[in-house]
Amino acid sequence: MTTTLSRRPPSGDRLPAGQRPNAALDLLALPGVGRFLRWRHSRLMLQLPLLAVSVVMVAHAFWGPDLAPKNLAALLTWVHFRGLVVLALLCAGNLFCMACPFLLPRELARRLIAPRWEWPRWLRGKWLSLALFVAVLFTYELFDLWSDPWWTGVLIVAYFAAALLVDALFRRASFCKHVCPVGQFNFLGSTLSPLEVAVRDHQVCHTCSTKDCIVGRRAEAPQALDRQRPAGEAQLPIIQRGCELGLFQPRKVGNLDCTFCLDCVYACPHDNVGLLARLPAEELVAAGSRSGLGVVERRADLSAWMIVFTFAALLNAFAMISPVYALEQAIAEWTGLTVEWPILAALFAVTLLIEPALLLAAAAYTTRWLSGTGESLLAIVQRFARSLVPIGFGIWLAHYGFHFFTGLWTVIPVTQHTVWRTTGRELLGAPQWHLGGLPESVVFPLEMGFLGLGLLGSWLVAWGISRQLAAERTLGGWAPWAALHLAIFAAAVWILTQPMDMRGTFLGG
Amino acid sequence: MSARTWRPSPARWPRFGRRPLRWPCAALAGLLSVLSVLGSAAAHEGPPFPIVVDQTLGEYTVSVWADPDIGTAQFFVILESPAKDFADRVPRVALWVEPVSGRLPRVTCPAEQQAMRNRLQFEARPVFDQRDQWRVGVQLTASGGETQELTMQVESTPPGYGAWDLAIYLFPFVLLGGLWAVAMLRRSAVACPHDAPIAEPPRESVLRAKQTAPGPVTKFQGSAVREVE
Repeated sequence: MTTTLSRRPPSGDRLPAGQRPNAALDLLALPGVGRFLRWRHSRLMLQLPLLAVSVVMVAHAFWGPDLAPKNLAALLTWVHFRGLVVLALLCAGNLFCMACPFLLPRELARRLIAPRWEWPRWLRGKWLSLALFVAVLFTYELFDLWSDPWWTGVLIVAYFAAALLVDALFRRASFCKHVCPVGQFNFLGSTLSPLEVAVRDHQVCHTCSTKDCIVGRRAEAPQALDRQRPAGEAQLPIIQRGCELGLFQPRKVGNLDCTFCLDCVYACPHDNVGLLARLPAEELVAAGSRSGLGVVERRADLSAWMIVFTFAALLNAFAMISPVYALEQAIAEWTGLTVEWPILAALFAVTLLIEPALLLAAAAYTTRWLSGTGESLLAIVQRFARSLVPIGFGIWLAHYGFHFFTGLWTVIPVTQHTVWRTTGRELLGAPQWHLGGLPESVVFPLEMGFLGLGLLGSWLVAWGISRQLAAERTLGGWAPWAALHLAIFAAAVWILTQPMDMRGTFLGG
Repeated sequence: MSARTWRPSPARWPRFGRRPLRWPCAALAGLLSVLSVLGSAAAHEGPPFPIVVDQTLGEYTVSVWADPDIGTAQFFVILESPAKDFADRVPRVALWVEPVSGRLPRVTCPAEQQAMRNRLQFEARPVFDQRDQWRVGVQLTASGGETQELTMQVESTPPGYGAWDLAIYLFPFVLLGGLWAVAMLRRSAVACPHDAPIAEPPRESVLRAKQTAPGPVTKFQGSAVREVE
């Protein structure tokens, strides 16, 4: 028997707000792009080109020119990839995780060997990924990865190997949820995205008995198999995965932990999951429990990620301007140190630990005093940590956008040069080295625009949180955090007006 | 599994009334006013770009990147060589500049070697007094005293941006920010559908479901799924 399931109940219009079907623009309902994304192999089609580019980058890293501006591995990784990721997060959503090439080898491996273990309980959460994020930033500065194609290639290969190893051994999306620092970065950035994978109509979920969006769907049991026995059912092959990151669609809030893999879309037997437009950053104000995450404002690891995400944005931009070199030199002369890593470690400790601790404690203390709340300082910091994400993302956008826009067309001559070096013939023409990127007069206002939007977002989020904390004294609760956001904004503006290395596009260091 | 009826819980979702958000908006408007007069502030140094790439000069392959801003400009000279020990035989590098029109005499400035891990790179900082076409020469003097020269032409460019540039390019962001703030303002205190207390399936069933690898393609057609019994 063939049954066609209708999508929405007819009585949706009479329901109170919040229970009505979501009327927002649904990307999956659009012709063309919607049809493509609803195709079950669309993710694979997005991953394959990125995998091919990754292979070319790795080959060029190990066998191409040593000069970063002429090497596709360094150029694409540190200029184009980072810029495209943050711009995609701003304009659409977590598109890189959707097209992540690191997961293709693991998909292949899982067809041969089923993972056997659960991710260790003591490693669950975001602490490991946070440590890896800081470690990558540290090695990036210490070993000048932007100017070293060989080590950039090593980093790419290591990433593939780690994803393959973790997900070959551990069930579900352990790498994405607990390990991948790029993924966590994207999750936080996607809180500012205009798209979200969400339920179209919650009434449909109330009547759903299978919960395929999280459980997944198995093949039909043959007649001979006793379907009453759970053990027997468990042996049936999965024909469609549910959410491997443990997000139950009806209780999912926002984009945190969502890789845009669309498994839930394919799994839902009611076709009730869409890629819906929404108001960016609004999810950062939402309080309460979320599926797969719990209560965000009570999770120390998530709060720590948000804080590091923001202050690392400042640090990463600060580390590429001239004053930091003078500072490092002064510290070296003062201490007599002849190696860089202790100085860099001290810089990281100050920027990612001491400075945030002092600033956040001061803001929380003032908030408690002005708003009259009885919450502890730590609880206040955890509440308002979410308000740091927009300004942090604005800084990442401004920084990576600077490299991306000023080096926008450099990929053309480098590709031409690569083809010429590889084949001995100018199949794509002679390298057009004059191609650079957008002029400074255009890029700088873009940077300021990104920072301004980030500041506005932080203020709006802080306002919403302050209303939850103390409805009668909202302004008192908001003002200290608004001042902190403004200070971060001012620091970012100062950094971005300094002479800056061009990294991948340029031979600075 | 029971699917309980749920009611919206407005307290869990932010209420953005019109009045309370006056402060964030007023503060932002003030800040944008300050930004709009930032046009004369210090700018980035312009992005250096290659003006010579892979030119052979003696035993070296030379590339020159330039940031020819008016005032103090930057030139980077990169030397490559197939010889393994070329980094041990560092030549002396100098750079001269003169206006193509000949209105100023030629000025030579030394290029200092930069501390790079795996290549020879030199930086020179000539001064350009105004927007003009300049002839630039790079001189390589080997340890034996033999000098070779490479010449090129470059136009000096004004640094930074003007106030109008800033205002024009910032306008879309102001517009977007305004729309964003208004959307937040107009967002009434509707309950978030995410608060629906629909019980998640038991963890055991989720665990059981993940124990085998994904199989072949499911049937997915258009806006509905066909289930075959």
